[in-house]
Amino acid sequence: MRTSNLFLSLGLSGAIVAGLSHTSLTRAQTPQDVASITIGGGSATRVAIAPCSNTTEPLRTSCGIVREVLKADLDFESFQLTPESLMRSLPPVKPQTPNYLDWKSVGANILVTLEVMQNGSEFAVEARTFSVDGSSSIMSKRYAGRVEPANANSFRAFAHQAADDILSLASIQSVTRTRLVFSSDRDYPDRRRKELYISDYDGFNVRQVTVNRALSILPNWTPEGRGIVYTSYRNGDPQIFLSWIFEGRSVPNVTGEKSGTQAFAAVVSPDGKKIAYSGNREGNFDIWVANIDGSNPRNLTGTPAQDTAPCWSPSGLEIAFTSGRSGSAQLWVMDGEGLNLRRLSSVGNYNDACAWNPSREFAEIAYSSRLEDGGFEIAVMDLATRQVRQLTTGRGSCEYPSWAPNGRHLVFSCNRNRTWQLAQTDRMGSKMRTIAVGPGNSVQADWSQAVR
Amino acid sequence: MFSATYSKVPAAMFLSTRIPRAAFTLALLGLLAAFPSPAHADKKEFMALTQQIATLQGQVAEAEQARIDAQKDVRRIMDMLVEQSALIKKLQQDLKVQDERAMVAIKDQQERLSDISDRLRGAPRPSGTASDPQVGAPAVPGIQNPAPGPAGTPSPAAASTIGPREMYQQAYSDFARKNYELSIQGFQEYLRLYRDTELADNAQYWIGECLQAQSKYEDAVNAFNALLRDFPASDKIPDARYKKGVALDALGRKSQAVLEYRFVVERFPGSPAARLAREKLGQTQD
Repeated sequence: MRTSNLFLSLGLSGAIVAGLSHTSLTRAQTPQDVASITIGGGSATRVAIAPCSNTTEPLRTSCGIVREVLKADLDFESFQLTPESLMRSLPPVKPQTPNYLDWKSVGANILVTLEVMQNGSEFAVEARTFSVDGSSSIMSKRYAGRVEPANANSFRAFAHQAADDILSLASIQSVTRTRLVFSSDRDYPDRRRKELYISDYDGFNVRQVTVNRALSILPNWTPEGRGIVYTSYRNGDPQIFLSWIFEGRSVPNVTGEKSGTQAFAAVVSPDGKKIAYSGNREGNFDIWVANIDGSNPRNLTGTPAQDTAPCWSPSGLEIAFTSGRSGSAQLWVMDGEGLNLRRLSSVGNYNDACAWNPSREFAEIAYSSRLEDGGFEIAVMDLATRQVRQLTTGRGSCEYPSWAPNGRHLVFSCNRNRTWQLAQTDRMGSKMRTIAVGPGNSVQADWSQAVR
Repeated sequence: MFSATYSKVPAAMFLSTRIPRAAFTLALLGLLAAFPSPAHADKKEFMALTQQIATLQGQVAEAEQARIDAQKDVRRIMDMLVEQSALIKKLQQDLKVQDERAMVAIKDQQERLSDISDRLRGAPRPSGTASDPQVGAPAVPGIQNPAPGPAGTPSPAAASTIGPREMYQQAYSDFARKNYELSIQGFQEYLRLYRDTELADNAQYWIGECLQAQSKYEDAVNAFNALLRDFPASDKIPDARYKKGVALDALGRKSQAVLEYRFVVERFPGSPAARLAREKLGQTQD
C-alpha cells in the first residue's frame, strides 16, 4: 500500500500562500497480477472506459467526473479510446465481472470499469482494468479519501491517480499528477499586474500562489515541486524571488541585487542546488549562476553582448541561453562553468526562451522562434540532426515553451485571439489543445518536473 | 610625479653633459692658481683671461639652462611613454576581446560551412561504395512543417552511412541525454574515421567531458592529454587545460592541478578558462 498526498484547498497568508491543507488519499491494490499494455504497433490497442455503474446521486455525478478525467488523461497520451456511440448499444457493465464478449464486439482490447462508493465522509473509487483479448483481470485498484462530495477537484485527483496506474502498465511515465505554474493578470482588470497561479497539468484546479500586487513573471519550479523561483517587480527593478509554496515562506531578492542592478529569468538546476539567471551587475546582462540561496554568484558569459533566458540541460552540465553576440538574438550553449561555447540556432532572425527536453529519450530543445517579421512560433531543434521542426503556426504568436517531465508534451502561451492563453501539444505538434485557466492573459507556464 | 619621472631617467644621460663641463672649469682655475701673474705681467693678458672666464661662465650658465630644458623634455617624453604604454595595453585588451569574438564567429561560420558542404557532398562515407538514398535530400538545414507520427531515430542502416557531421552530432546528443558510454563510443568512432576534420579536436574534448561526467578522472586526464598532444593548435586547449586541472584536483593531485591552472592564466590570460583558473588558484592559496 502506498500513500500519496494531494492538496485540495488552500488559504492565503501574507505575500504568498501559506499552509496548503492536505487531505490524505490512500490507494490499495488487490493482490492480482499486473500485466502490461502494449500501445501502438500494427493495430493500435483500443481502450474502453465503461460507463459508470453508479445510478444514484451524488455518486453518479462523481463517477461521471472520474470517467471524463480518466478518458482525457488517456487521450492526452494518445491512447485510442472506444467511441461512446459504440458503447451505448451495450448492456450495463458489471464492474467486477464484465462480459468480455460485449467488449470484444465493440473492438476493445482493454476495458476499464469504474465505481464510486461512499462510507460516511469517505469516498472510494474502484478502478478495474481487464484484458478483453485474454478474458482476464489485469489490475484492480481502490482510491479512497475523506473528501467533500461537491468538490470536483477531489474526484479529478482520484481519476489522475487511476490514469497514472493505467499509463504505467503501458510503460509511459505519467504526467497526470504534475502541475503548471503560470503568470496571469486574471485578477487585475487594469491588466498591469500579474500574479503566479498553479493548476493541475490540464489547467483545472487553479490556485493563486503570490500576492505581490506587482508584476510577477517567468516562474520556474524547483525539481521536487515544492518551490518556485520567479521574477518580481515588487521592489521596482526586476529581482529574483523564491517561494516555498507549501511552507508559506518567500525569499525576496535572492541574488541580493543592489539599487540599479537587475536580475531576472531564473531557472533552477536539475539537482535543485543552483539557479542560472540573467543579471546586469557587471554592466550589461550576462548569464550568472549562483547557489539556490543566491550565494556565490558567478558571471559565466562576461562579454559586451546581452545574454538572457538561460535553460539547463537535463544533466545540469550545460546551459543554453539567448545571446545577441552574433548580431541577432540566437540560442547559444556552454557548459555549466561558461566554457565550450557554441552557437545552436541558425534559422530565424530571433530565437529565444529555450527549454531543454528533460527526457533521456529525446535530445532536443524547444524555443520561441521568429522566422520573418511576423510573430513567434514554437520550434524544436533535434540536437542529433540539428533539424528544426516548427510546431505551431497561425495568427499572433506562441511563446515560452516548457516540457512535461516525460518529454512527450509542451505547454506554452499563444495570443491567437488577442488574449494570451495557455496551450499544449505533443512533441511533434500534431495534438494541440488550449487550456482554459480563466479570464485575462495567462503566460509563461512552467511544467513541474515532480509528481505529487 | 617629478621625482618619479626623474628617477626613471638613465643616469648616463646626465653624466654626459655634466662631467666634461665641470672638469674644464676646474682645470682652468687650477691653471690660473699654478701660474700667478708676474709683476710685469701684461695687464692686457690678465684682462683677456678674465674676459674668457666670464665668457666661459656665461657658456656654463647657458649649458645649465640647456640641461634643465633637456630634463624637462625627458620628463615630458617619459610622461608620453607612460600614456602610450597604457594606451597600448588597452588596445591589446580590446584586440583580445575582439579576437575572441572573431574566433567564436569564425568557428561558428566554419561549422556552418562544413555542415552545408557535408550535406552538399552527400556526406562522404568511409566505405564510399554503398549508394545512399538520402543523398540529394534537402541539403541545408531548415524548418520543417509539423510532422505527423513518432520521431524517427536513425535506423541501423542509416547509422552506417551517416556523414561526419551527423556522426558528431549524434555523439553529442548522446552526451546531452546522459548516455556517456554511447557518446564516448560515438566520438571515438568519429576520431577513427574523420581525424583530419576540423571537429576532431572537439570530439576528443567531448570524450574528456564524458569521462569527467562519469567521475572517471584518471581517464579524463588521459583524454585531455590526448587533445593537448594530438591537437596542439586547437582552440579547445585553454578549456582542456582547465578541465584537466579540475580532474587532477578531483584525484587529489593538487600541485599538478595548480600547474595546469597557472599555464592557462599565463598563456591564455584573456580566455574564459583563465578566469576560472584564477578562481581555482585563489581557492588553492586559501
